[in-house]
This record gives sequence, C-alpha cells and structure tokens, in this order.
Amino acid sequence: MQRRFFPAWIGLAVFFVLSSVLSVATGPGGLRGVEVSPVMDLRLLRLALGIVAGGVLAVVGASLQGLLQNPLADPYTMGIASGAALGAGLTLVLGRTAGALLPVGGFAGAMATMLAVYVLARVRSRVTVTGLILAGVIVSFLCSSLVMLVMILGRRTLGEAVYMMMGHLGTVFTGTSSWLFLAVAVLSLVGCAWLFSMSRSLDIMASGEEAAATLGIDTQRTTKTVFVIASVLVGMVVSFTGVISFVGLVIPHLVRMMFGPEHRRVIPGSFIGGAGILLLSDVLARNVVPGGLPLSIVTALVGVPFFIYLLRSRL
Amino acid sequence: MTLTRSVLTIVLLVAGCGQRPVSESRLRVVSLVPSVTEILYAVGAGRMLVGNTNQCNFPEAARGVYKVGDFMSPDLERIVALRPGLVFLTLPMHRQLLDKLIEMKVAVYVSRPASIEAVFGETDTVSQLVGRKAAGESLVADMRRRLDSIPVFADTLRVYAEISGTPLMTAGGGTFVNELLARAGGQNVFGSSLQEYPVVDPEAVLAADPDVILLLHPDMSNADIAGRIGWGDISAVKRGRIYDHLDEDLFFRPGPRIVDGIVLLAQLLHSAR
Repeated sequence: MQRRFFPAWIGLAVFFVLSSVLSVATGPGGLRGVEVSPVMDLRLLRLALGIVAGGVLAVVGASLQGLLQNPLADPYTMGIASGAALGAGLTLVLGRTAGALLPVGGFAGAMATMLAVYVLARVRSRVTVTGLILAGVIVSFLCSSLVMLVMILGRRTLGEAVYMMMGHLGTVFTGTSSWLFLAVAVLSLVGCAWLFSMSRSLDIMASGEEAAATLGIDTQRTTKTVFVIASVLVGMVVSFTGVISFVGLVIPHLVRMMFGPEHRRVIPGSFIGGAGILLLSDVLARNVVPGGLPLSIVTALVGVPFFIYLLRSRL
Repeated sequence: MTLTRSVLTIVLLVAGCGQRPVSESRLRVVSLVPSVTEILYAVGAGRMLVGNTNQCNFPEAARGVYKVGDFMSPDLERIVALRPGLVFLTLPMHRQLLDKLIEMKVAVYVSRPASIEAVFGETDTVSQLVGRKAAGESLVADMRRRLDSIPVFADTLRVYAEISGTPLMTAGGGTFVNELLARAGGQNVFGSSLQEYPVVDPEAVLAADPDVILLLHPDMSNADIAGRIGWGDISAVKRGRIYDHLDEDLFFRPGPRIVDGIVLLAQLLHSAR
C-alpha cells in the first residue's frame, strides 16, 4: 500500500465507522434501544444488510464502469437492478411461501435481464459498450414498468411497489430469512473478493478492449465473468432491499477521485464507501421524516451535493 | 377527529335529472367506488349499474357488471360510452376524471365519507339519488341498530394492524380502520401518525408493544409473524393474539359492511379472553 493514500484510507475508514455507529445508535427507540436485546438484534441485522447492500452495489458499479470503460455503467443503468426487482416482485406475488425463494427470484430476474441486455446489444456478433448501455437503459425502463404491473395485478399496495423500486433496509427477518441473509452475505463477500482478484484484468480492460486483447486478456471471458458475478450479487441484494439507485453509480467515481483508477484500490474503497454512504442515508431516511423515506430519495440527496463538490473542487 | 370531518358531497345534477329522484328505468349508473357499489346493491339498485371497476367484487353480482377499468385508473372513454346518467367517484383518486366529467356535463357524485356517521349519511344520499329513499332509510336504521347493539368497551387493547410486510406498513390516524378499531374497543398503536398508510420501522412495533396484531394482507400467516426475529417479546406474540387471513375489505370499505367489520373486530379483541 502506497503511503500517499494513507490519509484517504483513514478518512474512508472513519466515515464507515461513524456511519455504522450512527446506524446502531439511532432508531425509533433512540439511544436507549441499544440496551434492549431484541431492538439491538434488529439494529445489527439492519447494519449488516446496509453494509452488504451498499458494498455490493458500489463494487459492482466500479467493476462495470471499468469493464465497459463507461462512467455511466452501474447496476441500475445496466438493467440488472430493475430485473432483480422484477424477479423478486414476481416471486412475492406468485406465492406466499416465497420468502425463502425471494433471493433466488431476484437472482433469476437479474440473470435473465443481463442475458437480454447482452443479446439485444449484440449486432452482427459484436457487442459494443454503447449498445450494452442503451440496451441496459431500455430494459431497465421495461422492467420498472413490469414491476409496477406485477404489483398492481398481484393486488399489492402502491406503497409496496414504491419501496420495491426505491429501496429500503426495513426488511423484517424471520429465522429462515436471517439464515438466508447470512448465506447471501457470505456469497456477496466472496463475489466482491472475486471481482477484487480480477483488478488487474479490469485495469487493462479499462484502457481499451483491443489493447487488452493484445496484452493477453481473454476479454470475452472477463466480460462474461463480471456480468455473471454482478447479476448474482445485485440479484440477491435487491431481493432484500429493493432497488437503491445512485450508490453503484457515484461511489466508484468518488473513490477514483481519492485513489486514482486502479481497481485494486477502487474495489475495496468502493465497498467501504458504498456501505458507509448507504448506512448514513438509512440513518437519515428513518430518523428525519416521521414514517421514514424510501432510501433512493436520500442516497441521491446526500450523494449528489457531495459529488458535485468533489467534482468542482477538482476543476 | 375523523368524526368532525363531515362528508364532502358534490352533487351536480344536469338538466333532466333536477332535484327530483329519477325514474329507475331511465337512470344509468356507473360506480367507480367499490363501497358505493355495495351500497347500490344493498338498497336494491344493483340493476341500474351499467359499469363499475375491477375492484367492485361484492356482492357476487357486482363482478358480472361491465368493467370500466381499475379503481385507481378507470377509463374515461369506457365510462362516457356507457352514457351514464350518474357517475359515483372519489377523491383524490379520481381528480382528473371529475374535472373531465363536469366539463362534459355528466352528473357526478363524490363519495368521501370520513367517519362511520358519514357512511350512514352517504347511504341516505346515494339511495335518494337512485330513487331508493325508503330502502336506504331502512338499511341505515338496520346498521345503526346493529352498531348500537355492540357494547362500548371500558378497556382498550393496543392493536397493530399490518397492511404490508415488505416493508412494514400500517394504517395511521384518519383511516377507517383507525375509527373501526376505536369503536371495537381497540387502540391503534400508530393512530397518531399523520400519514394514512405509513411505513413503520420494525423497531417501532417492538416499542409500541401491541396486545393484538391484525394481519390485513393475504400473504402472511400468524406463524410468519411469530417467527420474526426480535418479535418474541411483543405481548401479542407472547399471548398468541395474532389474527390472519381477515377480509380486509370489511375494514377499508366505507360501505354497508362496516358494521360487520366492527363486529368482527370486537369479537377478535374481546370475546377470546
């Protein structure tokens, strides 16, 4: 680790720890809730969910941006998040025992969307980045509409549909779903570690696909691997939290501003930063407005000014 | 609270209808409000109904009526094509539709009862509008009699009424459920919420410690609730007082079945002990 990045790492770590402490210390029960064991259990589960969701979304965003050499790539613009929401929504509506199947539904939805985007973007057996982004955005719109349709046909409340499309950490865990979440958390960490292990390939891919091919990178295989990992991770996370926008798009940019473009720093940095910003957003979402707010509203309100500030201060 | 809110009625009767009751054979009625559909059938005016919504599912006969769309998004063209003499709708749901229908000089009635008392008033008005005054009066008298026969409970149980599990949503103050609960000897633990259907933090339910949990959504059973992490200490869970698979229309529809809703709630809250 180079010494000049030390302050940035410390800053990121402090931010993450502060967000975590705030997350555990606040809630409807206030600070006193920490002493009550069931309340503390709920807060720790919420904390874990926030870390996994924020970390995964930001790491996937960072990997996709590097892979596709496009600053707009993220789980949302690539259609994966909306596809996962559709899969989860369908599972939810189709059966009341769906609880345990929810992450599977989310993953299946994400995977199917990713495939659809890939096929749509392939023109004369060539997949272009522009094609992928365009197809992703279109499929994302389609899936968002379909989620609404499924929720309305399934006689779900509009509120449920809104939270499915705008995210929340208010998942209520049962014994089964907490074990499931544990599995998802472990898989998420493995997936993020896997993407981290591909840092070198992603660095080379980011400098252009042709250059990567001449340097001996199997670009097709790298692309497919990243896509599959991204679908699995985002699919599972979205089935628990709904679609949380902004984190996957902007956190990687923030982290690159701090550490430069190398993925061996961008990926772990994104995980910590994404987790921190999501926890902080959740603290605001649940404590500022009575009744709480969908998370995506807050992630945007918190992140955009911060992002603009960083962007302007670099100019 | 809700009792002080009076019924909002806008009755626009175009030429030909006047203030007089309209002769039954000529009046073609469209109901975009499931509760009004129920009132119409209860006063014997079901045959006048030429159109209603996909959510108008009670009584059984209402299902067979031509559908003009969803409660949330009825189709103006279908409504107009039916050449209705009177359209029942509600606000804020049908705001745009209301303006259009007024512009087209179609007679409309806005249903928006905010209390049990207002439902009685609305039943009277609706029955008069369709020329069924006597039937309306006897229906209201019957509902009042049944309502009065429900005892007033001295003690109140704290109730959490869940309408969605992902995320948790409940009925706040100003909702019908809230008032029905109060009349049935219950106190809505989220009754002070200003939002009608607020999302609640799981932790807030723990803090409220309800005596009874009502599940007003179909996809969960009481076993699911009892299995929620951290919920084991809630009084309702400890005493097994979670009620599932309830007909939520009884609690959300300000129609002739509200008294059934109150009776059911009173039974759940007070007879089991």
